[in-house]
Amino acid sequence: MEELISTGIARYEYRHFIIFGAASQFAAMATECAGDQGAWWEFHDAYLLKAQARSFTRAGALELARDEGLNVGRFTQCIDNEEHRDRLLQMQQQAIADGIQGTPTFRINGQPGARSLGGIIEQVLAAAEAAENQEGS
Amino acid sequence: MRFARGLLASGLALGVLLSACGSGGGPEQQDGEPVSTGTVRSEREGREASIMQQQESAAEAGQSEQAEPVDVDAPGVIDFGHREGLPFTRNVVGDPEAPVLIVEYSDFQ
Repeated sequence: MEELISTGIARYEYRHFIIFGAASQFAAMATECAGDQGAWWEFHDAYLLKAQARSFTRAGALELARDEGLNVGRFTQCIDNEEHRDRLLQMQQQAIADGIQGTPTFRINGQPGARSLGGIIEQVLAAAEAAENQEGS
Repeated sequence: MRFARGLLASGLALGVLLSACGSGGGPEQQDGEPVSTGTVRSEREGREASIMQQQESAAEAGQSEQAEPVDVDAPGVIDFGHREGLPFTRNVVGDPEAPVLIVEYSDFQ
């Protein structure tokens, strides 16, 4: 899937869909607060790819913010004041309205995505071809 | 009459003395302990100066944080990991002109 993105065929958007409660909510909030300082993907990877359990705590998130060289005071203010609460709530409500029921769930140009990676890649390539044909016509 | 003038003069003198030492802005004496006006004033001035310094520092800190540009959707380029070199805007990565958008709904846990 990374190749589809790096070659300009597709772009990828991550949307929070909180199903595991407070810790997940906190991690999403911390990531959005990091995003305010340009470190959204650093936090995304720390949570999702590296599965750093410590980051799901306030202390862990602050440590991560320090490691990433963020303005920790600003970051702390953001998570303590839940500055992205409305954004996360809106994202959750929109996902439910779009029929999202579990994670991970994919949408390819708005259409329901396959359950397997291979299926998703096929869908992306088909959608790219369709877009190209549309441009050509 | 002379006695009365003497009483009047004493009363005036006492009044002047009380107004100078009492309610004229001097320190209040508590628990009957003697208070050194100069010491209290310098301590209070010291505290006020300290508070002002703290307030100024806090104001400067606030100004510097406020002055820091916060554009939550500013585009950038990822400079680490397997997505290095890819353009991003907050939670979206890849060419903004790419014909296909993959959206993933997920929970970090």
